[in-house]
Amino acid sequence: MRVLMFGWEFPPYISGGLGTACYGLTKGLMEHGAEVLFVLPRLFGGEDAGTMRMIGAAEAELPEEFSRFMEQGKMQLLQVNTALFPYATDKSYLSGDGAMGYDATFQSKTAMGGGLTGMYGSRLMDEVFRYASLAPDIAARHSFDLIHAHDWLTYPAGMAASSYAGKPMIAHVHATEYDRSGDFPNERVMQIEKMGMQAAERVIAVSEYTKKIAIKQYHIDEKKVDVVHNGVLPGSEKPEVRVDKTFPVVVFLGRVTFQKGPEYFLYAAAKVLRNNPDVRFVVAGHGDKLLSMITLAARLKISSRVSFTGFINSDDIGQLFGDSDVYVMPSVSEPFGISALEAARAGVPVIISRQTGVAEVLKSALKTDFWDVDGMSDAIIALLQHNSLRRWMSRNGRQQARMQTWNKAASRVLTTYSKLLS
Amino acid sequence: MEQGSFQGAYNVFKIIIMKKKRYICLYFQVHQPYRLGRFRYFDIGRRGGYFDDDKNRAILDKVSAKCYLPATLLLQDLVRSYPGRFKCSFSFSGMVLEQLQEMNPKVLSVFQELLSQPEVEVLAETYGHSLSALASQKEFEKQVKRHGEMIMSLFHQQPTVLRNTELIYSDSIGKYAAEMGFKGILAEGADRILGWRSPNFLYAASEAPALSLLLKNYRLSDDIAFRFSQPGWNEGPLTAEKFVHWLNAIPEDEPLVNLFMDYETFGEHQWAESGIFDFLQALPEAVFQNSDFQFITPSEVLEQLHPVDRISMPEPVSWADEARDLSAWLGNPLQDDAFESLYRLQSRVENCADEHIQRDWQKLQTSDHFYYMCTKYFADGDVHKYFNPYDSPYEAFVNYMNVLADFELRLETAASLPPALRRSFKIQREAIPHRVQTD
Repeated sequence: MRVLMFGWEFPPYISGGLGTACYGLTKGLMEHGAEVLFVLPRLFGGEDAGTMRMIGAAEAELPEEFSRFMEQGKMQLLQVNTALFPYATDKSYLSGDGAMGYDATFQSKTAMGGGLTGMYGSRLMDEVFRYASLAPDIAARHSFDLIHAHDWLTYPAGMAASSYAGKPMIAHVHATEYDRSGDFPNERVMQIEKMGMQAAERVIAVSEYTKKIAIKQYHIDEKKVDVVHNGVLPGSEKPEVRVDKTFPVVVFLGRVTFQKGPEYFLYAAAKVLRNNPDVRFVVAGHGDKLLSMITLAARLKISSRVSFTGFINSDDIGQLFGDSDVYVMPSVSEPFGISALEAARAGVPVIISRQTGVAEVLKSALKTDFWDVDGMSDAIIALLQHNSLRRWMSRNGRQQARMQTWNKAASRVLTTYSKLLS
Repeated sequence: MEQGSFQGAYNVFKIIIMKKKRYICLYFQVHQPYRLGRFRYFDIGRRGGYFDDDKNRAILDKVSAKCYLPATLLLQDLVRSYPGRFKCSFSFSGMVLEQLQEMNPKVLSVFQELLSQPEVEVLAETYGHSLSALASQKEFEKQVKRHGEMIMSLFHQQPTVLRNTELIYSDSIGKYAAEMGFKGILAEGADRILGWRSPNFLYAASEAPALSLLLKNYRLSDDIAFRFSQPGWNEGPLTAEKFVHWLNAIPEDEPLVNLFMDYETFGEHQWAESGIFDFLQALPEAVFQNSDFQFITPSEVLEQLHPVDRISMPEPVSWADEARDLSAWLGNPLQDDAFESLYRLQSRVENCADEHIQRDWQKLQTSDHFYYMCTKYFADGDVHKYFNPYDSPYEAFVNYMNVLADFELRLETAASLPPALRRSFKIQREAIPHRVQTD
């Protein structure tokens, strides 16, 4: 089986959870014998170099196993000349999941700066359709059985390729505008999402939670939506544990945006600190709410106990998990939430909001509503106080994270493929 | 006859008025902060070394070459050329003196040479160039004392006039100064305080009448310090003759012109190419030739003049910006939380004998750290600026708070260990049990 897959980022040059998901999923698919043609936007030399830096995958060193797959002919990376850039502005952060900033590429000033502000409305939309306009050419030059498009930026490309080649399309929903922007969505983005999901023969949602949103907010036929939970890549399970640690650490890891609910983390922190003034809170990540969160911490008079790291790379994430006693994901609406699984895999007890997809697979996490800062602070205090609870959750979380493999996710996706082709 | 004697008395009176002495009081501020290096969350509890030694050394060397050396050598010349006639005063923060001792003792000795002249007076200030007067009288007094000891050992002078950080003055600070035995204090001649009154008189502190206030004539001071080489300034280029002409335009009954400025005015803020050194060199001669003014030091002012009125400043006044208040250092939530977090540690620092901690405590109090957190000119939400570690108040704040967190840990460690073990801050603790993996 050959799959023509449209994405927008791929390791090692990724900026969010979607790159991780594409990596894990394609790897799992190939382990099951499928072949993948992965289409990536890339920036041509010099074009817009002043405002962004996106390094084409061809120039990047791919993870070792991918080189192997490529040598075996199971995988091809195709590149399209477009300036499409997934996280054009903080507002347009699109992926629902994952730890952020795995790679330094997007930590640069040029890549993340305000230079792209405004693209969301105009330029970015142009690029989405430019990407789509190049899709039929790719479809003409390659043979494949079906099309798999990841999130709204690639739906128009998937649709174009699908109608040109007469092959069925799958829309893979990693996040929706509804998650990102709550009650104030970008209408055009929602429209494209809806078009894509309607045009697709089948829809894959990353959680039951997201499936419900597809049905309720986008009026997609329930019968055509399958749920495939994301996996977590096997990583170092023994992060560096600081031996000279003198204070408990509670961590928030993710983009500092409306969707991730960073302010609830800070409100909960203020309550915890009233109970135990020695706890240190870490807000790791960048986003359009970072400066207002720094100010909020100062207003709450808790800055002496809160550290803001900005972007951090994968090594630092490993060390951060090594430091951490509790991981909190207070997302307002989270389709999945890979980074919670990554924390669990590293043995860090996890508190997640009920408004997350990952709650469906991470049973041992403590759950609160995102707005319930009392519940959240109680949960943090309980975990810090009770070693037994922390140990139990650490062990169980680790086991549950281990079971959540991409291989398993890929076999579910293959089931969807076969439903489509039969 | 009656008329004649009236005429005679009038003539005597006129002579007294004509002979009434008028003074220029020059004061230069010398300060360099210990700038912080990048200190991340991951560094908390893991490494010491808060300060960017390379950067601090580079800046000190640059300012020494452009300002401290040439300006001080020029002043030495002037003092030698006009013995007993050309006078000026200085204050040095403990921060700049420590850095000169460590990194540039040659420049320090040039300063010592100048300050050994009786024409040059040194003033008291806070050791750390701190805002401690706004936090705690006790800490303020400690710092002024610590500074006084350093001044005594380096310059062999016992200052009698105080100059608080950034010319920050309020009625409370006046009281603190008087209680410490100071006879005078420098302050800003802000319009909103003076109203119709002129800064060109000696005043007294309203809450502590024994303390005299020397108020900065900010117009004439800033003509030199800020406007000297400003493009488009219609009075430029400023010559010594023109400046003396302005001095002469001051009403004859106003006896004192206080010209207070950063020392870096000479060669650093105003580059040598602007002619600032020529101006300074020509000023004494122009004053002596074309005016009745004499140079005077602050403590001499207190001997020569009597306060004409009391001045009250219930709210602190400074010499910064147009606002001339505290808003460059305090007032936004970042600055306030950082400031409160810093002084929450005060009592614990007082109980700590560790000299490294005491020295860092001074360095962390320097007002510049709070100045870097000022958002007055920073558009909120401008993410672009956030990324430049030295270009954003948020970055400055986050970095400072990380350093402060580490400092607090050291403080706890130093306090909780027996003296014999206090030198080592790293305590090896057992690994956190729940994360010891056997698989």
